[in-house]
Amino acid sequence: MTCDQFRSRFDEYHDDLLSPSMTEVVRTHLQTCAGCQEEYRLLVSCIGVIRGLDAPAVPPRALRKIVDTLTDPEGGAPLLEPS
Amino acid sequence: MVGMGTARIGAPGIHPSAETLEGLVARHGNRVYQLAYRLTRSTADAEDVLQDVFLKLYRSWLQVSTCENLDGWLTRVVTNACIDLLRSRQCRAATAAPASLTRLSAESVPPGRALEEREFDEKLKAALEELPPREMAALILFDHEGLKAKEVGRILNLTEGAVRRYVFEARRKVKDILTPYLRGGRP
Repeated sequence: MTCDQFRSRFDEYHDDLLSPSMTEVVRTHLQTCAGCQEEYRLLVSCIGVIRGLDAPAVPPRALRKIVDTLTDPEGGAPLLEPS
Repeated sequence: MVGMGTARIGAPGIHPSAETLEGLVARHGNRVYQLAYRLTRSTADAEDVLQDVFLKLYRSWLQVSTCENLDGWLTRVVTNACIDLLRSRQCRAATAAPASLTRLSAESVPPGRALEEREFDEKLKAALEELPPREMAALILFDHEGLKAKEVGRILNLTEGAVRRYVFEARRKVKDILTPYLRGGRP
């Protein structure tokens, strides 16, 4: 296999989708090829960035607005009766 | 799946009681908002989706309250609402704050590093915005939310194989854009 062919399998290798024998072939190649080691490291880093995506907490007023809207939609009749 | 957990929803009926609704909003509001934010990268859009999702939950209560997997229902509705929104806004300018995806606060790092962080986050945001909506959703649901390909497929109406192709393609595109930054040891 060429390096390009190995690299085309890196996602599957990362996600543990390859057969045991193919996993071993890729692992062995990674141990000996600096270029592919770097490419695989970049893929793992990229996935790490996605996993680490942060998001702000919901503003309390947005939660309040939901309840207000459903109990008194647009100042009209409430959609919900008070419990 | 991250965060929501399985919920006892409440008594079935045509609509939820105000008390039940408040409880659902309190328990799931943040999770719904954060998923919508990650998919839209806009606080304003995330708020709109949050409102829409709970309105839909209210209107669909008879069906939702007997559903065993509220988490799955919410994830599906949020994701599809965001995809519709992303499709509709593809031609208009993004409104998210430039540093809104910053994972480290600017105050916590030296000025030079803060600049690098901001540049990195802007590149990341741009990379995600360039993805087709369903590809981006597959990436977020699979790599961030930790859903299985089968679960993502149910949400996006794709086969498992198609989900993996979407995810691999999205990773490749994001990696290509971030490579100059990732080569420099970041993150």
